[in-house]
Amino acid sequence: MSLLSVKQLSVSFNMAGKNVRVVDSLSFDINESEILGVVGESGSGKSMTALSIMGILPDSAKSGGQIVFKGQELGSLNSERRRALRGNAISMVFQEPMTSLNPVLTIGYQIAEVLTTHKGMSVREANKRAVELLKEVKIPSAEQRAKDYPHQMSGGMRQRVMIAMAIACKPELLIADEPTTALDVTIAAQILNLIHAIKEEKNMSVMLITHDLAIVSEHTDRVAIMYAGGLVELAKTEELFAKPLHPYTIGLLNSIPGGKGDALESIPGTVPRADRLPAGCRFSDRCRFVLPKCRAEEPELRDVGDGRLLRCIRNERLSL
Amino acid sequence: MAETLLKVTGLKKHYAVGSGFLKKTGYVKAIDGVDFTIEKNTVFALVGESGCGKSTVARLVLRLIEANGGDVLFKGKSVFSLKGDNLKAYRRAVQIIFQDPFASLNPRMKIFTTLSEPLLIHKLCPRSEFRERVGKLLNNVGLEPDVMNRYPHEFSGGQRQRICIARALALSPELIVADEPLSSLDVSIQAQVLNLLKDLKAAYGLSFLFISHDLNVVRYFSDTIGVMYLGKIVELAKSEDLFSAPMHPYTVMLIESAPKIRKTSKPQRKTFDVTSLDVPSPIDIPSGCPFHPRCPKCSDICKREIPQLLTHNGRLASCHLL
Repeated sequence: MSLLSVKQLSVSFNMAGKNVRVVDSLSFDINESEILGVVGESGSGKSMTALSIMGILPDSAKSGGQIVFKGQELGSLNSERRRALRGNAISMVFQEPMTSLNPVLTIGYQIAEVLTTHKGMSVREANKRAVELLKEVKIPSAEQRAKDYPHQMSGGMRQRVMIAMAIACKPELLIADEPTTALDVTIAAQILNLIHAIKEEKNMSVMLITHDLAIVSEHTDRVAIMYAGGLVELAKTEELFAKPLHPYTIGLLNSIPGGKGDALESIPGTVPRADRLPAGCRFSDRCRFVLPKCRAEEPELRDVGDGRLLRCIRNERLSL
Repeated sequence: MAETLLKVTGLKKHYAVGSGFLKKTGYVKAIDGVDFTIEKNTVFALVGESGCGKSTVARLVLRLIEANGGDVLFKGKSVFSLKGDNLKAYRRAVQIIFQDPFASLNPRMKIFTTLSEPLLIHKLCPRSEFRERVGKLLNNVGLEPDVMNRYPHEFSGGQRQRICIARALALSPELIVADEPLSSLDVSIQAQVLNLLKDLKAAYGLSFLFISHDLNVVRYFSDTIGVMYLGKIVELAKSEDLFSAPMHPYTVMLIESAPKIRKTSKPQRKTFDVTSLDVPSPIDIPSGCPFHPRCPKCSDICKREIPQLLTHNGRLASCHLL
């Protein structure tokens, strides 16, 4: 059963009189109580996709397509009903815990605010619940820490506060946009394990956005690989790592150093700018398997069996 | 026997905090007795969490800040007592690549100006040869020579990092200090830059002091690794030994925390128990072994006595339990 369906989503900006698409006809589903990993380099459109689902795209962005959450088309809702959903049934954890907390309010107040706004709790009740939430995210001496200001906490602690806030209303979908990029490995492992444990306990779905394939391999059920605004491969996590099919996925996996070895097989060139995409397949100018046909037309996203999606014309013949 | 290029002994850097009228001054022991050596044409890596003092070591080695104790010997000569022309020569032999290529290039200077400035300062060749030299440098790092007429904003992150590497190479250094040179780059670009560094190391016989928090990268690139925790080296070993058989519990924790790609069945959740959450503040370092509040194997002696960096089976580690 899918909880959220993204259908033909596109996001574009007006750049110097030109319409530039940063997300291009993107479709995927998130099932109930699953963790979907969304992987891509900078400029792949993964964060813009998250902002579209939350309904917090910048004003200058134009978006098309549909986002259906539990049978309800989000684009058809007015801004008030959209706001009632945000932070409630769908919530988000951002990359930078330093900048996403208000520096002049105590963290207890910031968590309680979510509850008074969405659940209509009294301030006293909400404060009590805020302390419980801090305990749920394993913050020691939660009663005292609730009175702290963000600057009194470390990065890992702040990210825990962000998670406490995001789960305050028992969301059905949690979007985590690079939740550990700003943190040390030891702390990152704790945060990811925490998200995982909360997901199991509350039976929620998680969209985990990251650029780190190793994190994806450890924490997700399915993976969507994005490149320059489009989906290029979507598969079950084990299947993707056992046999990656898209040349971009293969390239990403080969770019990761494993052990002490010879030269790494890197992907040549850089991610093209959204207004300078190559003709045909958007990966064609960096692909080592490129054919003339790739440059002529953009390949369709096709089902290669068992719900696995691939946007490449020659998967059968790729040597791995 | 390999030739020793850089020898660091008992290096210390303490910062005064909380000083004021009638107030007792505390000290942040950012670096508290660090020893290591870098042999010619090898890569020595420092790893550790943020705040452990890796970057401070880099800056002390470069003499960008002054140390409170200890010594840095470059080819047997103390770096801290260098003056005038000798210091200038040292600055030529040791170069740095910074983490953020967006902040470390002057946005108002053309690439040509940026890359020819070191040649001008050190009077390495006549002005008439600058264009040729800069063109060669750009070629060495995989860029077209004609990009020298452009400004930094016209380049992507990976290209800028290549320009920073070209700048470091301009003076034909012997040692390059690389402070997280890959961490602001995308995965596919990281591999390109890492390959480049490896090629340059072989081509010019360079040595590196390589600072990184990415264990995959460190494992791939370095020969010897020093693991730092709160201003001290807690384990020092050959790269292969460290990853195949880590000795210090902190090293074990770092290696276990790093996410790994597993190509077969779904991996189990990590079992390593992290007793305490965060790195303690360097102002208030725990008694005894600084790692004991987070250590799963902590015993009584760890809380009382500070362990020394000692040899255990031919390897260096500071832990009471070895």
